[in-house]
Amino acid sequence: MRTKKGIAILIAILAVVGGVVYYRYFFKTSSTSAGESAVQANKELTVSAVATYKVPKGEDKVRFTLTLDGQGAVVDVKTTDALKNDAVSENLAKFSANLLLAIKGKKLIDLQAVDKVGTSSLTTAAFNGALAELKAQL
Amino acid sequence: MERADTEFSFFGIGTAWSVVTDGSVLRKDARSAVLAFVDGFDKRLSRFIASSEANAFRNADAGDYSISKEFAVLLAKADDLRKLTDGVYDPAVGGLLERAGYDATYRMEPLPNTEEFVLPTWTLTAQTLTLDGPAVFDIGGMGKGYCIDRVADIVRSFGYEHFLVDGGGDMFATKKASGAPWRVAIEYPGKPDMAAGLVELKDQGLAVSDGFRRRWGKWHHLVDPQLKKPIERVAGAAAVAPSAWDADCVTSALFFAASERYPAVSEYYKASYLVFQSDGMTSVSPNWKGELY
Repeated sequence: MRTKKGIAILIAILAVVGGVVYYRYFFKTSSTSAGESAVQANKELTVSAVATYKVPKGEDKVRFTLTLDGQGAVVDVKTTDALKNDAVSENLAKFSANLLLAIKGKKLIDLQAVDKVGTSSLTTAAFNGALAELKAQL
Repeated sequence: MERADTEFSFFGIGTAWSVVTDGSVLRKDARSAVLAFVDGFDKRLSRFIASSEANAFRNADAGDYSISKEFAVLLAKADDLRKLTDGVYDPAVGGLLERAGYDATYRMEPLPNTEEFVLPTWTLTAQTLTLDGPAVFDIGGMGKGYCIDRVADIVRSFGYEHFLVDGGGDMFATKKASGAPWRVAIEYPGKPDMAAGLVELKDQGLAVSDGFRRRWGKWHHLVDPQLKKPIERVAGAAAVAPSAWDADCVTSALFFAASERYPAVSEYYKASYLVFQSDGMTSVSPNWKGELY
């Protein structure tokens, strides 16, 4: 049941995040065209979604609320119990700590004006040499 | 692309470094000072150098030992991290890494007694290290972050204000001469030609870590000293913090701490972070400002 609840919450987060991504995309395309959009751009925006999932006693409803700044970046996330006047339980607070996303990545060569690439540190020649030797013994 | 900046590249503490200055070239005396520091740091504190302080307690008896100020500063920071990760991060894990095969000779073959490793107990009071017996210290990633920040101090002391220090993929950057931030892509873990996202750094450090490089057999270099196993729950992590050292502590914490501890870690180091989970999902702290692809 815990797992199912987790999955339901995950799906709901993805739905909200999907909305955010859409919003960011919309903002990016519209902000270049009109002054009116630029005024909107300075406003914080709050979006929310309610996820419903079945529990042994009936149904639970959890509300996810994201606050976005003028640039569309997520500045706050709240997870509340929609059946109990949006009360925050300890478990729900934990879910608010992280945003779950599915990211695909982009080819580095397609990125514009990048100064550097942050990477996990390159391994030494000695380490790689030892690995090659080890593989040769297999 | 034409760039006003210039890059000084070198090799140190087992990885490739570069100092990029926006505007004027890094002078020869500044370069020498940077090289001298990084080389000296390796000799003083690398687990791979027999005469280093990290190796000085390999055959130690239980007792109190006076250590250098620099080693004490590093161990104090490691102690914070140990507390934040409920003891899963511990620099005294060096002996386990050696048994698993990651030793100075790069044996890369686990010893039969690898799982019998018992984590040494240590405490630090100012510059006094108290041990319960032999210990080998591995200050790994956070040592590199420390080194990057010290190199930044050196570069600054020669009068440079607009620069970026890259120590093997972790970095610290001031702002550019134009006042703009430096734009840094974050490599997708395990895919060296792909970017997972982009961050802008302005007087901030960035650390990126994964369990794909430095992998041999079933082992890699981020190991749980209690379970005596490499950590596989997290595939990679990136963090932005006020310094490279703090950012490195955060990526370590993301690997070693339970995810319930992430908000406390983020708050402690005033950092934002990105975690690549092994299940293919990515989780981001709510204060993450970078772009994601």
